[in-house]
Amino acid sequence: MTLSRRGFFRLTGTGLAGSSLAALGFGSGEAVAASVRPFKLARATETRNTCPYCSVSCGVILYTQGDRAKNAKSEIIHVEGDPDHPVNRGTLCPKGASLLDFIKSPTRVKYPMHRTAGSREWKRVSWEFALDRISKLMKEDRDKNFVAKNSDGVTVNRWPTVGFLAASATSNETAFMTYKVVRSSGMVVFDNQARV
Amino acid sequence: MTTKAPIADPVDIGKAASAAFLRLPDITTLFRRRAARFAALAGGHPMEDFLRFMSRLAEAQAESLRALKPGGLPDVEEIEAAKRDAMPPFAGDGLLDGTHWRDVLQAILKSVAAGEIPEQTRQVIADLGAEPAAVLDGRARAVLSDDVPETSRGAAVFIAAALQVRWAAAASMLTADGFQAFDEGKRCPVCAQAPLVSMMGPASEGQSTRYLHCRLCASSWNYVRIKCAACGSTEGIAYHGIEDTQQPVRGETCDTCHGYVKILSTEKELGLDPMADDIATTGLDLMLAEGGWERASANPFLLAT
Repeated sequence: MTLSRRGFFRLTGTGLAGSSLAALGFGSGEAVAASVRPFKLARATETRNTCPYCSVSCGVILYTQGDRAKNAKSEIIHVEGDPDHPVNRGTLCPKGASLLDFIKSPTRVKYPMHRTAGSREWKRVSWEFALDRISKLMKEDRDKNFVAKNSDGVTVNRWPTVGFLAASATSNETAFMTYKVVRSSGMVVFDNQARV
Repeated sequence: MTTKAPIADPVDIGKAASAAFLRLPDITTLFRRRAARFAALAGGHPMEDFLRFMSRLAEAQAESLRALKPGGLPDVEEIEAAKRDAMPPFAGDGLLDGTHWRDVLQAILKSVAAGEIPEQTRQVIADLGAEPAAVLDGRARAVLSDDVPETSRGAAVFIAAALQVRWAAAASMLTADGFQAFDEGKRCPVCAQAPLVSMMGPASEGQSTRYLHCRLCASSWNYVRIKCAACGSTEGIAYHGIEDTQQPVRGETCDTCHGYVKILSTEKELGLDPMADDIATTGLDLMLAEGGWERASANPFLLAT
């Protein structure tokens, strides 16, 4: 990328003293410099993302306040439809428009939780525990219900008792991997939110 | 009577919200609105006298349209050919031909001189009024090519004011259809100048769509959000406001080129004017400069080093 830096300049207090302002007899601009001296700049970022709800996969813009570079706590302050996104052109449905409440919901699940059978309590568990537990249960179910051959003796390799639903904000590569993993296990019930 | 209700097609919903690529200026209101905005911002402002002067200058621009003789534009075939080739039809100094822009300049000088102005301004006006056409054309070319000598900054304000009238009046005669992005959208598709600021909205053009505003011909063109208007990078873009990130005027800064272009949000404040609100937020420029950011394009009314 080539970029002409012609025209780039820092507009400083000293610069103002020699500017058009001064040339026409309107002073040095010192009052402007003094007027902003007590203040600080506040920084925000805007980030493109995809709405997680449905297969339309609307583009959204997340507004984040705070300076990540300085280790300060940053916080999402606003979510709106991405006007440049060809799918939704800035619009969102009521669910998508309330994404900020989804992000900030006190009941939002932020880490693996486990409720043992018969218990009323959800307890926070490690990812390792959760993944081990899920794979153990899946294996048990698959061993019990896997259909290798149908009644006519034709090989079908079906696992009809467990289903899989994958997410909306998924890249092609993720979708490819998901498909390969799920289908090679024999799982029949499978849907993916990302259909774009 | 029964009518068959049209079935809503999701594709039509998408079409309805798509934004126009180019918005051409309306010169019947452009300069009067600008004058009113300058006047509204002036009260109690640290640059109050300058903003009041700018308001009078914008009034003078509005009045000078009467001095602008019709004609002096490229013919339709030329303009359409330029559009097809994605070339700005009013790029360069073609519109300096004839007496049009100098008629406007003399009208502006006359009406500003009629008011109360500082001695320096009066001197600048007197000097410009006496200069031959060739010298004035030279000054105009310097303004158009961002090459104004330090000693000519005062005069450049009046030259730029006249050029804005000439170019905006010409742009207002065009039809917006068929224009294409120039320099990947970083410069004006009508006259190839750099954007003065960028603006979000109005809502009628789709929700929070962003437009870059030309500092010469006052056209606005659609430009993708969260993208540097100076270098086109989409990495490391941030928004800086004074004390608050929800200010109507913020600096869109870029970590790639270390430049910034201000972004004005019409949804946060009604009546924002690209020129008036840019000058009225000079304090933001000073703070961004302190943070190490460089302004990517100069305001012709506030040239500095």
